[in-house]
Amino acid sequence: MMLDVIDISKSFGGLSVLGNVGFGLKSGQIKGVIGPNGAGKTTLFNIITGVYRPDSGQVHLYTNESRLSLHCMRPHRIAREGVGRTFQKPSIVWQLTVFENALLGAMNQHRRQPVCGRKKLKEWTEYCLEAVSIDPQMWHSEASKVPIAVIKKIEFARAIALAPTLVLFDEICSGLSRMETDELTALIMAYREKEGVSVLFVEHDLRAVKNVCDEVVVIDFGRVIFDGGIHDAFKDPKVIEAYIGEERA
Amino acid sequence: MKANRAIKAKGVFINRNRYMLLILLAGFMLCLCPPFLNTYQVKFLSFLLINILIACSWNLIGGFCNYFSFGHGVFFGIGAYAFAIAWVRFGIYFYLSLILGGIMSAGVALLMSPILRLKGLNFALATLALLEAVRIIFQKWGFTRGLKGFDAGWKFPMTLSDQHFFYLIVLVFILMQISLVGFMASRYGFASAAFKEDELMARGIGINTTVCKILAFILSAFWAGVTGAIYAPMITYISTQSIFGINWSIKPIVVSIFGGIGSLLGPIIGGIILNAIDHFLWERFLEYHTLIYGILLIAIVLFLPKGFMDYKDRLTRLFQKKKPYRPIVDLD
Repeated sequence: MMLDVIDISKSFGGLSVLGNVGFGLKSGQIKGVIGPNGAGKTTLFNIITGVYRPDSGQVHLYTNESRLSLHCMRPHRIAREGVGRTFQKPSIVWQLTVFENALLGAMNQHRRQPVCGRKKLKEWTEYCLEAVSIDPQMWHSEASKVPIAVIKKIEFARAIALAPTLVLFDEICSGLSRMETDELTALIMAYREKEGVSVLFVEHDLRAVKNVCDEVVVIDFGRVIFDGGIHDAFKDPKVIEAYIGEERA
Repeated sequence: MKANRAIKAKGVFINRNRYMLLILLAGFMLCLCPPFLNTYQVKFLSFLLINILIACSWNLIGGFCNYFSFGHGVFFGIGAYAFAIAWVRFGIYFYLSLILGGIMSAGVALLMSPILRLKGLNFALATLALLEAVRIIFQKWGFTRGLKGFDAGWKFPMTLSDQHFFYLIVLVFILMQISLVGFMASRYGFASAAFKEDELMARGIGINTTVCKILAFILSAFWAGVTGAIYAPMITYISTQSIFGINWSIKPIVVSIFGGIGSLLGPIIGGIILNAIDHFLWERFLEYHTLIYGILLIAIVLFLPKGFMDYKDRLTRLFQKKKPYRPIVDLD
Protein backbone atom coordinates (compact mmCIF):
# COMPACT_ATOMS: atom_id res chain seq x y z
CA MET A 1 0.00 0.00 0.00
CA MET A 2 1.27 3.41 -0.96
CA LEU A 3 -1.41 5.76 0.25
CA ASP A 4 -3.89 4.83 2.90
CA VAL A 5 -6.93 6.98 3.47
CA ILE A 6 -8.70 5.88 6.63
CA ASP A 7 -12.19 7.02 7.59
CA ILE A 8 -11.88 10.64 6.60
CA SER A 9 -14.72 12.91 7.68
CA LYS A 10 -14.98 16.59 6.97
CA SER A 11 -17.78 19.07 7.32
CA PHE A 12 -17.99 22.78 6.67
CA GLY A 13 -20.32 24.42 9.14
CA GLY A 14 -23.32 22.11 9.24
CA LEU A 15 -22.66 20.63 5.83
CA SER A 16 -21.03 17.24 5.91
CA VAL A 17 -18.90 16.96 2.78
CA LEU A 18 -17.06 13.71 3.44
CA GLY A 19 -18.21 10.95 5.74
CA ASN A 20 -15.97 8.02 6.59
CA VAL A 21 -14.20 7.94 3.27
CA GLY A 22 -11.51 5.30 3.07
CA PHE A 23 -9.56 3.60 0.34
CA GLY A 24 -6.06 2.49 -0.46
CA LEU A 25 -3.71 3.10 -3.35
CA LYS A 26 -1.05 0.59 -4.32
CA SER A 27 2.40 1.56 -5.44
CA GLY A 28 2.49 2.31 -9.15
CA GLN A 29 -1.26 2.25 -9.47
CA ILE A 30 -3.48 4.78 -11.18
CA LYS A 31 -6.72 5.20 -9.32
CA GLY A 32 -9.61 7.26 -10.57
CA VAL A 33 -11.78 9.20 -8.16
CA ILE A 34 -15.11 9.89 -9.79
CA GLY A 35 -18.51 11.02 -8.73
CA PRO A 36 -21.16 13.59 -9.56
CA ASN A 37 -20.63 17.31 -9.00
CA GLY A 38 -20.32 18.25 -5.35
CA ALA A 39 -19.55 14.72 -4.28
CA GLY A 40 -16.48 15.88 -2.35
CA LYS A 41 -13.67 14.89 -4.68
CA THR A 42 -11.79 18.17 -4.52
CA THR A 43 -12.26 18.31 -0.75
CA LEU A 44 -10.69 14.88 -0.56
CA PHE A 45 -7.73 16.12 -2.57
CA ASN A 46 -7.41 19.15 -0.38
CA ILE A 47 -7.31 16.93 2.69
CA ILE A 48 -4.66 14.64 1.21
CA THR A 49 -2.50 17.63 0.27
CA GLY A 50 -2.95 19.27 3.65
CA VAL A 51 -4.98 22.31 2.68
CA TYR A 52 -7.74 21.21 5.05
CA ARG A 53 -7.44 19.22 8.23
CA PRO A 54 -9.90 16.35 8.41
CA ASP A 55 -12.40 16.39 11.31
CA SER A 56 -11.53 12.77 11.91
CA GLY A 57 -9.61 10.05 10.18
CA GLN A 58 -6.09 9.62 8.95
CA VAL A 59 -4.08 9.78 5.76
CA HIS A 60 -0.83 7.84 5.58
CA LEU A 61 1.78 7.96 2.87
CA TYR A 62 4.23 5.06 2.78
CA THR A 63 7.61 5.62 1.24
CA ASN A 64 10.60 3.31 1.21
CA GLU A 65 11.88 4.59 4.48
CA SER A 66 8.97 5.64 6.54
CA ARG A 67 5.31 6.29 7.07
CA LEU A 68 4.14 9.87 6.92
CA SER A 69 0.93 11.08 8.50
CA LEU A 70 -0.29 13.57 5.96
CA HIS A 71 -3.33 14.60 8.00
CA CYS A 72 -1.18 16.56 10.40
CA MET A 73 1.35 18.08 8.04
CA ARG A 74 1.34 21.46 6.38
CA PRO A 75 0.80 21.68 2.60
CA HIS A 76 4.31 22.70 1.60
CA ARG A 77 5.85 19.92 3.70
CA ILE A 78 3.59 17.39 2.04
CA ALA A 79 4.55 18.71 -1.39
CA ARG A 80 8.23 18.46 -0.53
CA GLU A 81 7.80 14.91 0.71
CA GLY A 82 6.73 13.97 -2.78
CA VAL A 83 3.05 14.62 -3.33
CA GLY A 84 2.61 16.64 -6.49
CA ARG A 85 -0.75 17.98 -7.52
CA THR A 86 -2.48 19.95 -10.19
CA PHE A 87 -5.36 22.30 -9.61
CA GLN A 88 -8.93 22.27 -10.75
CA LYS A 89 -8.78 25.86 -11.84
CA PRO A 90 -5.59 26.37 -13.83
CA SER A 91 -3.41 28.29 -11.41
CA ILE A 92 -0.06 29.24 -12.77
CA VAL A 93 1.78 32.53 -12.66
CA TRP A 94 0.66 34.20 -15.83
CA GLN A 95 3.37 36.79 -16.20
CA LEU A 96 6.16 34.23 -15.94
CA THR A 97 7.33 32.09 -18.80
CA VAL A 98 6.48 28.42 -19.22
CA PHE A 99 9.98 27.53 -18.11
CA GLU A 100 9.87 29.72 -15.03
CA ASN A 101 6.56 28.21 -13.97
CA ALA A 102 8.08 24.75 -14.04
CA LEU A 103 11.10 26.15 -12.22
CA LEU A 104 8.85 27.25 -9.37
CA GLY A 105 8.11 23.60 -8.67
CA ALA A 106 11.60 22.38 -9.44
CA MET A 107 13.29 24.62 -6.90
CA ASN A 108 11.37 22.96 -4.07
CA GLN A 109 12.42 19.48 -5.04
CA HIS A 110 14.30 17.81 -2.23
CA ARG A 111 13.74 14.15 -2.85
CA ARG A 112 15.71 12.90 -5.79
CA GLN A 113 19.02 14.63 -5.30
CA PRO A 114 19.66 18.02 -3.88
CA VAL A 115 19.20 20.15 -6.95
CA CYS A 116 21.41 23.01 -6.02
CA GLY A 117 23.34 25.16 -8.39
CA ARG A 118 21.72 26.81 -11.33
CA LYS A 119 22.97 24.34 -13.90
CA LYS A 120 21.49 21.33 -12.12
CA LEU A 121 18.25 23.16 -11.51
CA LYS A 122 18.02 24.12 -15.15
CA GLU A 123 18.69 20.58 -16.31
CA TRP A 124 16.08 19.21 -13.95
CA THR A 125 13.46 21.71 -15.14
CA GLU A 126 14.24 20.92 -18.76
CA TYR A 127 13.92 17.23 -18.01
CA CYS A 128 10.46 17.80 -16.53
CA LEU A 129 9.31 19.94 -19.43
CA GLU A 130 10.51 17.29 -21.86
CA ALA A 131 8.70 14.60 -19.90
CA VAL A 132 5.39 16.33 -20.58
CA SER A 133 6.47 17.03 -24.17
CA ILE A 134 6.04 20.77 -24.28
CA ASP A 135 7.53 22.11 -27.49
CA PRO A 136 10.92 23.69 -26.57
CA GLN A 137 10.06 26.67 -28.74
CA MET A 138 7.32 27.50 -26.32
CA TRP A 139 9.41 27.27 -23.14
CA HIS A 140 10.24 30.91 -23.09
CA SER A 141 6.96 32.44 -24.08
CA GLU A 142 4.80 34.04 -21.45
CA ALA A 143 2.36 31.65 -19.80
CA SER A 144 -0.59 33.95 -20.51
CA LYS A 145 0.00 33.53 -24.23
CA VAL A 146 0.06 29.77 -24.58
CA PRO A 147 -3.00 27.58 -25.29
CA ILE A 148 -4.92 25.77 -22.58
CA ALA A 149 -3.47 22.37 -23.45
CA VAL A 150 0.00 23.70 -22.70
CA ILE A 151 -1.23 25.30 -19.48
CA LYS A 152 -2.38 21.87 -18.32
CA LYS A 153 0.98 20.43 -19.29
CA ILE A 154 2.74 23.15 -17.28
CA GLU A 155 0.76 22.11 -14.23
CA PHE A 156 1.72 18.52 -14.90
CA ALA A 157 5.39 19.46 -15.32
CA ARG A 158 5.34 21.54 -12.15
CA ALA A 159 3.85 18.65 -10.20
CA ILE A 160 6.43 16.13 -11.41
CA ALA A 161 9.22 18.66 -10.87
CA LEU A 162 8.84 17.81 -7.18
CA ALA A 163 10.03 14.29 -8.02
CA PRO A 164 6.87 12.93 -6.46
CA THR A 165 5.94 9.42 -5.45
CA LEU A 166 2.27 10.31 -5.65
CA VAL A 167 0.66 12.66 -8.16
CA LEU A 168 -2.87 13.98 -7.82
CA PHE A 169 -4.64 15.24 -10.91
CA ASP A 170 -7.67 17.38 -10.26
CA GLU A 171 -9.74 17.43 -13.45
CA ILE A 172 -6.73 17.97 -15.63
CA CYS A 173 -8.66 17.11 -18.78
CA SER A 174 -11.42 19.67 -18.34
CA GLY A 175 -11.61 22.13 -21.19
CA LEU A 176 -9.50 20.00 -23.52
CA SER A 177 -10.53 18.53 -26.83
CA ARG A 178 -10.72 14.80 -27.32
CA MET A 179 -7.36 14.70 -29.05
CA GLU A 180 -5.66 16.75 -26.39
CA THR A 181 -7.19 14.60 -23.68
CA ASP A 182 -5.81 11.49 -25.35
CA GLU A 183 -2.36 13.04 -25.57
CA LEU A 184 -2.40 14.03 -21.92
CA THR A 185 -3.61 10.66 -20.68
CA ALA A 186 -0.95 8.97 -22.77
CA LEU A 187 1.63 11.22 -21.14
CA ILE A 188 0.37 10.34 -17.68
CA MET A 189 0.58 6.63 -18.41
CA ALA A 190 4.02 6.97 -19.95
CA TYR A 191 5.24 8.87 -16.91
CA ARG A 192 3.85 6.20 -14.62
CA GLU A 193 5.68 3.52 -16.61
CA LYS A 194 8.92 5.43 -16.46
CA GLU A 195 8.97 6.59 -12.84
CA GLY A 196 6.66 4.11 -11.16
CA VAL A 197 4.64 6.77 -9.38
CA SER A 198 1.16 6.29 -8.02
CA VAL A 199 -1.57 8.50 -9.37
CA LEU A 200 -4.90 9.70 -8.07
CA PHE A 201 -7.00 10.96 -10.92
CA VAL A 202 -10.15 13.03 -10.45
CA GLU A 203 -11.98 13.47 -13.69
CA HIS A 204 -15.43 14.01 -15.12
CA ASP A 205 -14.48 12.73 -18.54
CA LEU A 206 -15.31 9.05 -18.09
CA ARG A 207 -13.63 8.12 -21.34
CA ALA A 208 -10.35 9.45 -20.02
CA VAL A 209 -10.91 7.61 -16.74
CA LYS A 210 -11.47 4.35 -18.59
CA ASN A 211 -8.31 4.91 -20.62
CA VAL A 212 -6.05 5.66 -17.72
CA CYS A 213 -7.18 4.06 -14.52
CA ASP A 214 -6.58 0.59 -13.16
CA GLU A 215 -9.07 1.01 -10.37
CA VAL A 216 -11.69 3.52 -9.48
CA VAL A 217 -13.30 4.93 -6.36
CA VAL A 218 -16.79 6.30 -6.80
CA ILE A 219 -17.90 8.93 -4.33
CA ASP A 220 -21.42 10.21 -3.99
CA PHE A 221 -22.55 12.71 -1.34
CA GLY A 222 -19.29 12.26 0.52
CA ARG A 223 -19.47 8.50 0.77
CA VAL A 224 -17.59 5.79 -1.07
CA ILE A 225 -20.17 3.76 -3.00
CA PHE A 226 -17.76 1.71 -5.04
CA ASP A 227 -14.10 0.75 -4.86
CA GLY A 228 -12.65 -1.70 -7.30
CA GLY A 229 -11.72 -2.54 -10.88
CA ILE A 230 -12.62 -0.07 -13.56
CA HIS A 231 -14.71 -2.47 -15.63
CA ASP A 232 -16.91 -3.54 -12.80
CA ALA A 233 -17.60 0.04 -11.79
CA PHE A 234 -20.01 0.84 -14.57
CA LYS A 235 -21.98 -2.35 -14.03
CA ASP A 236 -22.56 -1.59 -10.39
CA PRO A 237 -26.18 -0.56 -9.82
CA LYS A 238 -25.25 2.00 -7.15
CA VAL A 239 -22.84 3.76 -9.50
CA ILE A 240 -25.38 3.81 -12.30
CA GLU A 241 -27.93 5.22 -9.92
CA ALA A 242 -25.59 7.98 -8.79
CA TYR A 243 -24.73 8.96 -12.32
CA ILE A 244 -27.95 8.46 -14.22
CA GLY A 245 -30.63 8.14 -11.58
CA GLU A 246 -32.82 5.34 -10.35
CA GLU A 247 -34.58 3.24 -12.88
CA ARG A 248 -38.33 3.72 -12.70
CA ALA A 249 -40.17 0.51 -12.27
CA MET B 1 21.04 32.90 -25.32
CA LYS B 2 17.36 33.37 -24.78
CA ALA B 3 17.10 29.90 -23.37
CA ASN B 4 19.27 30.95 -20.46
CA ARG B 5 17.15 33.91 -19.46
CA ALA B 6 15.12 32.31 -16.73
CA ILE B 7 18.03 30.75 -14.95
CA LYS B 8 20.33 33.68 -15.38
CA ALA B 9 17.88 36.24 -14.17
CA LYS B 10 16.02 33.83 -11.91
CA GLY B 11 14.85 36.99 -10.28
CA VAL B 12 11.58 37.43 -11.90
CA PHE B 13 11.45 40.70 -13.62
CA ILE B 14 14.94 41.88 -14.17
CA ASN B 15 18.44 40.86 -15.05
CA ARG B 16 20.25 40.91 -11.75
CA ASN B 17 23.74 41.90 -12.92
CA ARG B 18 22.55 44.61 -15.25
CA TYR B 19 20.40 46.09 -12.51
CA MET B 20 23.21 46.04 -9.96
CA LEU B 21 25.47 47.79 -12.45
CA LEU B 22 22.79 50.40 -13.08
CA ILE B 23 22.42 51.07 -9.36
CA LEU B 24 26.16 51.30 -8.75
CA LEU B 25 26.49 53.68 -11.68
CA ALA B 26 23.63 55.83 -10.40
CA GLY B 27 25.16 55.87 -6.92
CA PHE B 28 28.55 56.86 -8.31
CA MET B 29 27.02 59.68 -10.36
CA LEU B 30 25.14 60.92 -7.32
CA CYS B 31 28.35 60.96 -5.30
CA LEU B 32 29.96 63.21 -7.89
CA CYS B 33 27.16 65.76 -7.66
CA PRO B 34 27.56 67.67 -4.36
CA PRO B 35 30.56 69.88 -5.28
CA PHE B 36 28.55 71.38 -8.11
CA LEU B 37 25.39 71.98 -6.12
CA ASN B 38 24.43 74.56 -3.53
CA THR B 39 23.20 73.61 -0.09
CA TYR B 40 19.56 73.85 -1.04
CA GLN B 41 19.95 71.50 -3.97
CA VAL B 42 21.85 68.99 -1.89
CA LYS B 43 19.10 69.08 0.68
CA PHE B 44 16.45 68.67 -2.00
CA LEU B 45 18.23 65.64 -3.42
CA SER B 46 18.53 64.15 0.08
CA PHE B 47 14.79 64.46 0.67
CA LEU B 48 14.14 63.00 -2.75
CA LEU B 49 16.31 60.00 -1.94
CA ILE B 50 14.61 59.55 1.44
CA ASN B 51 11.28 59.37 -0.37
CA ILE B 52 12.67 56.84 -2.80
CA LEU B 53 14.17 54.75 -0.01
CA ILE B 54 10.92 54.43 1.90
CA ALA B 55 8.98 53.78 -1.29
CA CYS B 56 11.39 51.02 -2.28
CA SER B 57 11.09 49.39 1.11
CA TRP B 58 7.29 49.57 0.90
CA ASN B 59 7.38 48.13 -2.59
CA LEU B 60 8.98 44.94 -1.31
CA ILE B 61 6.01 44.01 0.88
CA GLY B 62 3.30 46.00 -0.93
CA GLY B 63 4.37 45.47 -4.50
CA PHE B 64 6.13 42.14 -4.70
CA CYS B 65 4.13 40.33 -2.04
CA ASN B 66 0.84 42.13 -2.58
CA TYR B 67 0.40 43.11 1.06
CA PHE B 68 -0.84 46.66 0.92
CA SER B 69 0.51 48.11 4.11
CA PHE B 70 -1.05 51.42 5.15
CA GLY B 71 1.16 51.59 8.20
CA HIS B 72 4.62 51.51 6.75
CA GLY B 73 5.28 54.75 8.62
CA VAL B 74 5.41 52.65 11.80
CA PHE B 75 8.76 51.21 10.81
CA PHE B 76 10.02 54.56 9.63
CA GLY B 77 9.01 56.09 12.94
CA ILE B 78 10.37 53.31 15.12
CA GLY B 79 13.67 53.58 13.28
CA ALA B 80 13.78 57.31 13.93
CA TYR B 81 12.88 56.96 17.61
CA ALA B 82 15.23 54.03 18.20
CA PHE B 83 18.02 56.11 16.70
CA ALA B 84 17.10 59.11 18.84
CA ILE B 85 17.04 57.14 22.06
CA ALA B 86 20.21 55.23 21.27
CA TRP B 87 22.21 58.23 20.17
CA VAL B 88 20.95 61.04 22.41
CA ARG B 89 20.03 59.18 25.56
CA PHE B 90 22.59 56.41 25.60
CA GLY B 91 25.31 58.07 23.57
CA ILE B 92 25.86 55.11 21.29
CA TYR B 93 28.13 55.62 18.28
CA PHE B 94 26.29 57.42 15.45
CA TYR B 95 26.50 54.79 12.72
CA LEU B 96 25.76 51.98 15.14
CA SER B 97 22.62 53.84 16.20
CA LEU B 98 21.52 54.02 12.56
CA ILE B 99 21.75 50.26 12.24
CA LEU B 100 20.05 49.86 15.62
CA GLY B 101 17.11 51.84 14.24
CA GLY B 102 16.82 49.33 11.42
CA ILE B 103 17.15 46.36 13.74
CA MET B 104 14.48 47.68 16.10
CA SER B 105 12.09 48.07 13.15
CA ALA B 106 12.88 44.60 11.90
CA GLY B 107 12.25 43.25 15.40
CA VAL B 108 8.87 44.93 15.58
CA ALA B 109 8.06 43.54 12.15
CA LEU B 110 8.96 40.07 13.37
CA LEU B 111 6.69 40.51 16.40
CA MET B 112 3.90 41.78 14.17
CA SER B 113 4.30 39.06 11.56
CA PRO B 114 1.08 37.24 12.57
CA ILE B 115 -0.86 40.04 10.88
CA LEU B 116 0.44 38.65 7.60
CA ARG B 117 -2.27 36.05 7.96
CA LEU B 118 -4.76 38.75 7.05
CA LYS B 119 -5.22 39.58 3.43
CA GLY B 120 -6.18 42.51 1.27
CA LEU B 121 -8.30 45.14 2.97
CA ASN B 122 -8.08 43.46 6.36
CA PHE B 123 -4.32 43.64 6.28
CA ALA B 124 -4.45 47.30 5.23
CA LEU B 125 -6.78 48.10 8.13
CA ALA B 126 -4.66 46.15 10.60
CA THR B 127 -1.53 48.06 9.60
CA LEU B 128 -3.41 51.35 9.86
CA ALA B 129 -4.50 50.37 13.37
CA LEU B 130 -0.93 49.38 14.18
CA LEU B 131 0.24 52.84 13.14
CA GLU B 132 -2.27 54.53 15.44
CA ALA B 133 -1.49 52.21 18.33
CA VAL B 134 2.26 52.73 18.07
CA ARG B 135 1.80 56.49 17.73
CA ILE B 136 -0.26 56.63 20.91
CA ILE B 137 2.21 54.45 22.81
CA PHE B 138 5.07 56.70 21.79
CA GLN B 139 3.04 59.76 22.72
CA LYS B 140 2.23 58.60 26.24
CA TRP B 141 5.43 56.84 27.12
CA GLY B 142 7.99 58.70 29.21
CA PHE B 143 10.84 56.66 27.78
CA THR B 144 10.21 58.11 24.34
CA ARG B 145 9.70 61.60 25.81
CA GLY B 146 6.02 61.51 25.02
CA LEU B 147 5.29 63.34 28.30
CA LYS B 148 1.63 62.32 28.46
CA GLY B 149 -0.10 64.09 25.67
CA PHE B 150 2.11 66.87 24.59
CA ASP B 151 5.13 65.99 22.74
CA ALA B 152 8.59 66.94 23.84
CA GLY B 153 10.20 65.23 20.90
CA TRP B 154 13.89 64.82 20.34
CA LYS B 155 16.37 67.48 19.29
CA PHE B 156 19.64 66.54 17.68
CA PRO B 157 22.86 68.48 17.69
CA MET B 158 24.19 69.36 14.25
CA THR B 159 27.13 67.05 13.83
CA LEU B 160 27.27 66.25 10.16
CA SER B 161 27.11 68.61 7.23
CA ASP B 162 24.36 68.34 4.60
CA GLN B 163 26.83 66.90 2.15
CA HIS B 164 27.86 64.27 4.64
CA PHE B 165 24.23 63.25 5.07
CA PHE B 166 23.82 63.13 1.33
CA TYR B 167 26.72 60.71 0.92
CA LEU B 168 25.33 58.61 3.75
CA ILE B 169 21.93 58.39 2.09
CA VAL B 170 23.47 57.44 -1.24
CA LEU B 171 25.40 54.68 0.52
CA VAL B 172 22.21 53.39 2.15
CA PHE B 173 20.45 53.63 -1.19
CA ILE B 174 23.06 51.42 -2.86
CA LEU B 175 23.13 48.88 -0.02
CA MET B 176 19.36 48.72 0.04
CA GLN B 177 19.04 48.17 -3.70
CA ILE B 178 21.65 45.43 -3.56
CA SER B 179 19.79 43.68 -0.77
CA LEU B 180 16.45 44.07 -2.57
CA VAL B 181 17.81 42.66 -5.81
CA GLY B 182 19.51 39.90 -3.88
CA PHE B 183 16.24 39.03 -2.20
CA MET B 184 14.20 39.15 -5.38
CA ALA B 185 16.73 37.01 -7.20
CA SER B 186 16.78 34.43 -4.43
CA ARG B 187 14.31 31.58 -4.29
CA TYR B 188 12.27 33.48 -1.73
CA GLY B 189 11.82 36.42 -4.06
CA PHE B 190 11.05 34.14 -6.95
CA ALA B 191 8.49 32.34 -4.82
CA SER B 192 6.79 35.64 -4.04
CA ALA B 193 5.66 35.80 -7.66
CA ALA B 194 3.85 32.51 -7.08
CA PHE B 195 2.07 33.30 -3.82
CA LYS B 196 1.14 36.74 -5.08
CA GLU B 197 -0.79 34.97 -7.82
CA ASP B 198 -2.35 32.19 -5.77
CA GLU B 199 -1.34 31.20 -2.27
CA LEU B 200 -2.97 27.77 -2.30
CA MET B 201 -1.10 26.92 -5.45
CA ALA B 202 2.19 28.15 -4.02
CA ARG B 203 1.83 25.96 -0.96
CA GLY B 204 0.77 23.04 -3.11
CA ILE B 205 4.04 23.14 -5.02
CA GLY B 206 6.15 23.18 -1.91
CA ILE B 207 6.72 26.85 -1.21
CA ASN B 208 6.80 27.81 2.45
CA THR B 209 4.80 30.98 2.02
CA THR B 210 4.97 31.97 5.68
CA VAL B 211 8.75 32.14 5.69
CA CYS B 212 8.84 34.04 2.40
CA LYS B 213 6.36 36.63 3.63
CA ILE B 214 8.02 37.13 6.99
CA LEU B 215 11.45 37.52 5.40
CA ALA B 216 10.11 40.12 2.98
CA PHE B 217 8.31 41.92 5.80
CA ILE B 218 11.42 42.03 7.98
CA LEU B 219 13.68 43.21 5.18
CA SER B 220 11.15 45.84 4.24
CA ALA B 221 10.86 47.05 7.84
CA PHE B 222 14.63 47.06 8.33
CA TRP B 223 15.25 49.46 5.46
CA ALA B 224 12.32 51.64 6.44
CA GLY B 225 13.84 51.81 9.93
CA VAL B 226 17.28 52.77 8.64
CA THR B 227 15.67 55.44 6.47
CA GLY B 228 13.86 56.85 9.49
CA ALA B 229 17.06 56.76 11.51
CA ILE B 230 18.86 58.88 8.91
CA TYR B 231 15.94 61.21 8.43
CA ALA B 232 15.79 62.06 12.15
CA PRO B 233 19.21 63.72 12.58
CA MET B 234 18.91 65.24 9.13
CA ILE B 235 15.91 67.37 10.07
CA THR B 236 17.38 67.78 13.62
CA TYR B 237 14.01 67.51 15.39
CA ILE B 238 11.40 64.75 15.54
CA SER B 239 8.12 64.41 17.35
CA THR B 240 5.41 61.77 17.22
CA GLN B 241 3.16 64.08 15.21
CA SER B 242 5.67 64.58 12.45
CA ILE B 243 7.10 61.06 12.37
CA PHE B 244 4.05 58.89 13.00
CA GLY B 245 1.71 60.97 10.86
CA ILE B 246 -0.22 59.23 8.11
CA ASN B 247 1.95 61.16 5.67
CA TRP B 248 4.87 58.77 5.89
CA SER B 249 2.59 55.83 5.25
CA ILE B 250 0.79 57.30 2.28
CA LYS B 251 3.82 58.72 0.53
CA PRO B 252 5.51 55.42 -0.32
CA ILE B 253 2.23 54.03 -1.62
CA VAL B 254 1.63 57.00 -3.90
CA VAL B 255 5.19 56.96 -5.17
CA SER B 256 5.12 53.21 -5.81
CA ILE B 257 1.75 53.24 -7.54
CA PHE B 258 2.86 56.14 -9.65
CA GLY B 259 6.11 54.50 -10.66
CA GLY B 260 4.81 50.99 -11.01
CA ILE B 261 4.04 48.52 -8.28
CA GLY B 262 6.05 45.33 -8.20
CA SER B 263 9.00 46.47 -10.26
CA LEU B 264 12.38 47.33 -8.84
CA LEU B 265 12.81 50.52 -10.82
CA GLY B 266 9.22 51.68 -10.36
CA PRO B 267 9.49 53.48 -6.99
CA ILE B 268 12.78 55.09 -8.01
CA ILE B 269 11.36 56.59 -11.17
CA GLY B 270 8.09 57.44 -9.44
CA GLY B 271 9.94 59.20 -6.65
CA ILE B 272 12.02 61.27 -9.04
CA ILE B 273 9.09 62.36 -11.19
CA LEU B 274 6.70 63.08 -8.32
CA ASN B 275 9.27 65.12 -6.44
CA ALA B 276 10.18 67.01 -9.57
CA ILE B 277 6.54 67.84 -10.26
CA ASP B 278 5.96 68.79 -6.66
CA HIS B 279 8.99 71.03 -6.58
CA PHE B 280 8.21 72.70 -9.89
CA LEU B 281 4.62 73.44 -8.87
CA TRP B 282 5.65 74.68 -5.46
CA GLU B 283 8.03 77.16 -7.09
CA ARG B 284 5.55 78.49 -9.65
CA PHE B 285 2.15 78.28 -7.98
CA LEU B 286 2.75 78.53 -4.29
CA GLU B 287 -0.89 78.92 -3.30
CA TYR B 288 -2.46 76.30 -5.51
CA HIS B 289 0.35 73.84 -5.74
CA THR B 290 -1.32 71.03 -3.78
CA LEU B 291 -4.47 71.43 -5.86
CA ILE B 292 -2.63 71.20 -9.16
CA TYR B 293 -0.47 68.39 -7.78
CA GLY B 294 -3.59 66.43 -6.86
CA ILE B 295 -5.21 66.93 -10.24
CA LEU B 296 -2.02 65.89 -12.01
CA LEU B 297 -1.82 62.78 -9.85
CA ILE B 298 -5.37 61.79 -10.73
CA ALA B 299 -4.73 62.39 -14.42
CA ILE B 300 -1.55 60.36 -14.45
CA VAL B 301 -3.01 57.45 -12.54
CA LEU B 302 -6.00 57.56 -14.88
CA PHE B 303 -3.86 57.28 -17.98
CA LEU B 304 -1.15 55.03 -16.60
CA PRO B 305 -3.02 52.77 -14.17
CA LYS B 306 -0.14 50.31 -13.97
CA GLY B 307 2.32 53.05 -13.16
CA PHE B 308 4.99 54.78 -15.08
CA MET B 309 6.92 51.59 -15.81
CA ASP B 310 4.04 50.71 -18.08
CA TYR B 311 4.73 53.63 -20.41
CA LYS B 312 6.36 51.45 -23.08
CA ASP B 313 3.26 49.32 -23.40
CA ARG B 314 1.03 52.36 -23.52
CA LEU B 315 3.09 54.21 -26.07
CA THR B 316 3.45 51.24 -28.35
CA ARG B 317 -0.27 50.64 -28.16
CA LEU B 318 -0.94 54.27 -29.04
CA PHE B 319 1.39 54.54 -32.00
CA GLN B 320 1.50 51.06 -33.37
CA LYS B 321 -0.79 49.92 -36.10
CA LYS B 322 -2.96 47.06 -35.01
CA LYS B 323 -1.29 43.85 -36.01
CA PRO B 324 -3.46 41.09 -37.37
CA TYR B 325 -4.00 38.32 -34.86
CA ARG B 326 -1.36 35.68 -35.16
CA PRO B 327 -1.84 32.49 -33.21
CA ILE B 328 1.20 31.33 -31.33
CA VAL B 329 0.88 27.73 -32.34
CA ASP B 330 -0.66 26.19 -35.37
CA LEU B 331 -3.60 24.19 -34.30
CA ASP B 332 -3.64 21.78 -37.20
